[in-house]
Amino acid sequence: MLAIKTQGTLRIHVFSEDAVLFHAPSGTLSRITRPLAHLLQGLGPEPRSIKEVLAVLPANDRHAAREVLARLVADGILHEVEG
Amino acid sequence: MTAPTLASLSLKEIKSRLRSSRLALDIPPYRPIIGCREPGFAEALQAMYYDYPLTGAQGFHEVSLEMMHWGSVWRFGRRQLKLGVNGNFPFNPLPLGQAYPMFEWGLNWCITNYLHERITFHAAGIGYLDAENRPAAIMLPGVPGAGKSTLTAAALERRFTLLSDELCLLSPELGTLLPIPRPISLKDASIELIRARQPGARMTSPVRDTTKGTVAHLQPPPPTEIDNLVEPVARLLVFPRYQRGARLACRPLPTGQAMLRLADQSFNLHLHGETGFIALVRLMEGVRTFELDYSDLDSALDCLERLAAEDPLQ
Amino acid sequence: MSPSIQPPFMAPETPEGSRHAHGETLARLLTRQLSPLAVSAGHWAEILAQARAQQLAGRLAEVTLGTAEAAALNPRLQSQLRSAERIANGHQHSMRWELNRLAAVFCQTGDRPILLKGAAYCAHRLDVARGRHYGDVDLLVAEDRLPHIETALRFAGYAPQKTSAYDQHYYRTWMHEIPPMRHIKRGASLDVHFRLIPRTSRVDIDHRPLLDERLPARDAPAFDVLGPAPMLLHSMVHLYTESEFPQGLRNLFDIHLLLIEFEKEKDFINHLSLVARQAGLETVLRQTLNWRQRMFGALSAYSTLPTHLALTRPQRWVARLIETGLDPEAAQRRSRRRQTALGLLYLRGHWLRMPTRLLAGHLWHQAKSKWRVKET
Repeated sequence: MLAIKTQGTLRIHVFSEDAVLFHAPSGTLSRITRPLAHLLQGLGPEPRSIKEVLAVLPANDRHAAREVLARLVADGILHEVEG
Repeated sequence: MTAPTLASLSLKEIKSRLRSSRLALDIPPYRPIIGCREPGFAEALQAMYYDYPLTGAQGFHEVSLEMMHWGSVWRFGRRQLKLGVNGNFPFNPLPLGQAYPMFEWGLNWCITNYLHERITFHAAGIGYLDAENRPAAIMLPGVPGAGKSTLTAAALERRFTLLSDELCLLSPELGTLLPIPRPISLKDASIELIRARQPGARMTSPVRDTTKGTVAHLQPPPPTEIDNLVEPVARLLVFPRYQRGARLACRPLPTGQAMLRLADQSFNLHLHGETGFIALVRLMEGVRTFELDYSDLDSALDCLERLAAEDPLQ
Repeated sequence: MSPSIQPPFMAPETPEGSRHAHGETLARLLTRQLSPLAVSAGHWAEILAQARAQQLAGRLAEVTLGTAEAAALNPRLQSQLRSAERIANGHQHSMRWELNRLAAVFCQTGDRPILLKGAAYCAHRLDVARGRHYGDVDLLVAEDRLPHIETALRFAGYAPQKTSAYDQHYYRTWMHEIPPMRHIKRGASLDVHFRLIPRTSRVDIDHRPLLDERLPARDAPAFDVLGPAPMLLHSMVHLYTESEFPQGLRNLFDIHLLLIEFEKEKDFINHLSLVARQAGLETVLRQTLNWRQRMFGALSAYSTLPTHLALTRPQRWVARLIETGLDPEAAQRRSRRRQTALGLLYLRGHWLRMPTRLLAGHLWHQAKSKWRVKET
């Protein structure tokens, strides 16, 4: 079972209709949905299981969210660990 | 006690100082020292910066700009102009006759390259007073051709003041914008358009550049109290888009989307790290964001005035 | 310039408009041999411009703003320096992140590349890294691992630049690297070397002593860096054989700072001398120490090394050429002499690197490409 954690400071800010994400070490600034923002706000330097993290979303949104998480891992913003 | 302005010098004296690179003006945010021997440059400078204070040629000048001849007729078939910035020559030369636009462009370059205590955006800015008489501003970010310079020039006919036609400088600490009143650059059809609307306004002679079209500069309103410029807070973020024949359309934008679009227009956000992100979020929390499609200038200005008036009190 | 180190901030007031020879003022400010307040306001504008041209503005800012005198400087100057510092911090930040991403790639391939030059200074947290500007990431890998590594890098988003058959041949066969790569999203430049010094170099050296001392980078444990003496000598060889001199002073200053940091180790000078001898780099070492002394002031620790050997005729000529190339002030004056000097240095750099028969052909090809590129 794979777990996920942040790599360096991840800042999330939620607006009324959407949200933004800022990853300090890479200087990444992205626009994201509010549900995704709430999901990411639950992440930190301690690993959390991906299944648990995605559970906060409705079932239909989990696949898309999983893809976003995968991209964030590929970009070095999140870190995937065994555990 | 006000400093003497460029108006206090005769054209002859201006030319003399320019020839020996001894003319220094207070043009916020810098006090550039200027050198140029090109015919027509002194006249253009005098017309545009008539009311700007002179500063001494001694002392520390962050910016020195020299527009000078380069190359020989024998080697290239023509002479060209090169822009010297503080003794370095980082750019390719331009054809003769473009000394004045080169100067304006050089000043902008010095802001975007050397000024990083603020977050700089490629955006026009116009100021107004809100219902409580507090200084406020509309930021108009734009890709080239979006028409923001024309819009800015025309906005001065209404009750807007000029912050900048090109660059917005946000203070990360205060959240305010630094006014950098300068001549407004107009291109191609805009030149005649504004000339028709503002027949009394001073403009430089249009300069034809085969790659970028024709460029002229419009004299800004006389800057009051250059050493004490009031810094407004941005309250509106409007992305203008000129489209010939388009109906006026003013659409609200989701804040996050507007924030990313504004960030795309930033020159140095990446140098401000997390502080920059926080400053930008704070800016976005305090503005209403719109997209404005227009073809008729006056309708667009009516819209901007309406938005400014509708501004809910904080 | 007196060969002994002067106490800090004891220089007299510089009269307005006077010029020190050979960009001395900048060198002395950088090494804290001159107080920032002893430089006139007008002169400061020139110094700042020189520093910018040499990619030394960040360091100058860091050194100057760290002094007690900084608060008394012209506020606009302080502001410019703070901005310059911010730029250098931005470079540092980008470099760190790039190394982070590259570490992820090499974790997959199972290699431990050796970081070189700027990347090494940053990753190993050396003093020379402070206020420094960065360009490419340079790293050294084993030649037989190249195909595997190239594939992994492409997969990670690094696209090869300079893909003409000629360039491929030039870089791989005659230089010591694969053609430069650039990350498609981040824009970062990467140079993957497979020999420390080009195979074709007339500076014929033995690599083994240089690679012996490798150690893990302090802040990037996925990579190694060269040991102190090899790192210094590598930097010296580059300065010595450089075909382009826009950052001559900066490179020499890097060497100066590395020397200061490394000589804190007991017996470092002797060790440096030994490694230089083993690698066949004694001339390069002596020559560079000579230049360094003249530009930044000598230290008595080097009295054991024969730094003042009389140079033979050709060497003296070359030394003068390089000094002209190093002079930031001459650069500003756009003098004919400097242009000639730089042109000849460019030739010399290539001459040291390539056999004659190839040289003419290569330079002609390069000149042709330059005209094709349209700068915006």
